[in-house]
Amino acid sequence: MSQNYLEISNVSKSYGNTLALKDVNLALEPGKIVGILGPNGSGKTTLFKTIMHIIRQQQGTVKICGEEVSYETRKYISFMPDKEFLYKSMKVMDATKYYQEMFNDFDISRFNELAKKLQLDTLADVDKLSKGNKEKLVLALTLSRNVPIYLLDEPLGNLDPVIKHEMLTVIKQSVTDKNLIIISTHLIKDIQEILERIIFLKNGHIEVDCLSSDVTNKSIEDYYLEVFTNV
Amino acid sequence: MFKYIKWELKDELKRKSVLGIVVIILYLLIYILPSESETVGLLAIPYIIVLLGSILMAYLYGAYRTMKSYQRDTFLLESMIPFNPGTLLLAKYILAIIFNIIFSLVYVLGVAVVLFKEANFDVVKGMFDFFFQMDFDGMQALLRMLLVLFTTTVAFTSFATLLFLAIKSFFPNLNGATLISITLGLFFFSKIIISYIKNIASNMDSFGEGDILYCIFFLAITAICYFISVIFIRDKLEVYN
Repeated sequence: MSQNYLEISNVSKSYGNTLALKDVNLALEPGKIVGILGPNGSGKTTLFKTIMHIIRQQQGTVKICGEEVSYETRKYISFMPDKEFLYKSMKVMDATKYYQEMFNDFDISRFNELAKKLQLDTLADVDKLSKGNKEKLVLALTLSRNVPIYLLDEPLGNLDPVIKHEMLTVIKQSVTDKNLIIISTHLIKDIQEILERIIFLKNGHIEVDCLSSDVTNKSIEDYYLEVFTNV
Repeated sequence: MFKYIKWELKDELKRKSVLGIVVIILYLLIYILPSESETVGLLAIPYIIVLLGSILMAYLYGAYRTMKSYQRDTFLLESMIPFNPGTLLLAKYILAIIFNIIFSLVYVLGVAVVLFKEANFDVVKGMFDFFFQMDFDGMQALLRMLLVLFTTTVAFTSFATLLFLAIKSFFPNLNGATLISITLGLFFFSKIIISYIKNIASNMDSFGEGDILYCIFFLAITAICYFISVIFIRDKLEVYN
């Protein structure tokens, strides 16, 4: 296994005439929370789906834990998509059982711990949960798998500040020196405090790639505004 | 694979439970109420719709469901499972067969309800006796015909799914891929089925003799479609849901 958990080299992807990713190069090592930041349509979800092998890059290579991306490499990744994906007929308990049966790396005690922390009602129907509780459930399921890479696509979209705080605390506590957490979002203000590395994606291209500690004289949000509004 | 089938079945049966209860109530009412009652007259229309719908679904639903499984939000969930694409497609075929059988049973049950209600018990008994008293060749020919029908639905499912995957692989943004695939699939298969029926009609004395060839032909189509579909899923298919 190479030192980098994720290696992306010269990856490009277009949908018809629309270029979604343009010559993306990225190498990420474990032990960090990395933020892929950019406005809607900047290519964040396309990048995540390429890493998950749900869509295919037209150029370049993607390596997950040293292996070329494929169906096989999905075992290294726990993915939280930006939209609902659980069966609507499920109860929270069923969703847990599904993860237990489908993923050998699912840690039920970890899930119970997270569910307690996030105050999840395990008897509720998934479909009847509020948006915030659905996000909490999916986050708990995603982070309860013991995998090298966690991909969280817009995990904080439109949630109230209390839930956001709870979720950020859980994410922060989940990073170890053996895993890598990648978060995509456009809500910089909420997330800047937990990020160690920031990557600004603009029109499918990496515009900025630096450690958050390098951004010293301004907030990450100001930096983001500077990059994306060309001030 | 079986765990995946279990969860898909569980979800679909839960979602269709209301429809199932409505059909059971409809069948019960038709069986219980006297034939002359006005209510039975009113129930005749939904009964015929259920009967025609179920026979149509017994043929089409498996294929439709397989294609839809690539477009639903839960596809993201199955995209996380590190399954071999071939195994997953096989699971989808098995689910298609299960649902086709369920719809066939809905049809058979619907016919049985009216048969037991209207026909003289001796007639029904006579039909059963006829079946069980058939000579070995007759019974074998009947079973072979059922096998042809069964393999046709499987071949249709795999063929329509292959068309769908090919369209989605080369034109991911194209709308109506499901409709195009089902229509083209029906076009080809109706030709084959018509030729099969013609063959039966013109060879009544040697009824059922070419059936095994038809079965082998349909299974060969299924196998070819399966392997090409796996290649598409593994190397080309993109899902933008």
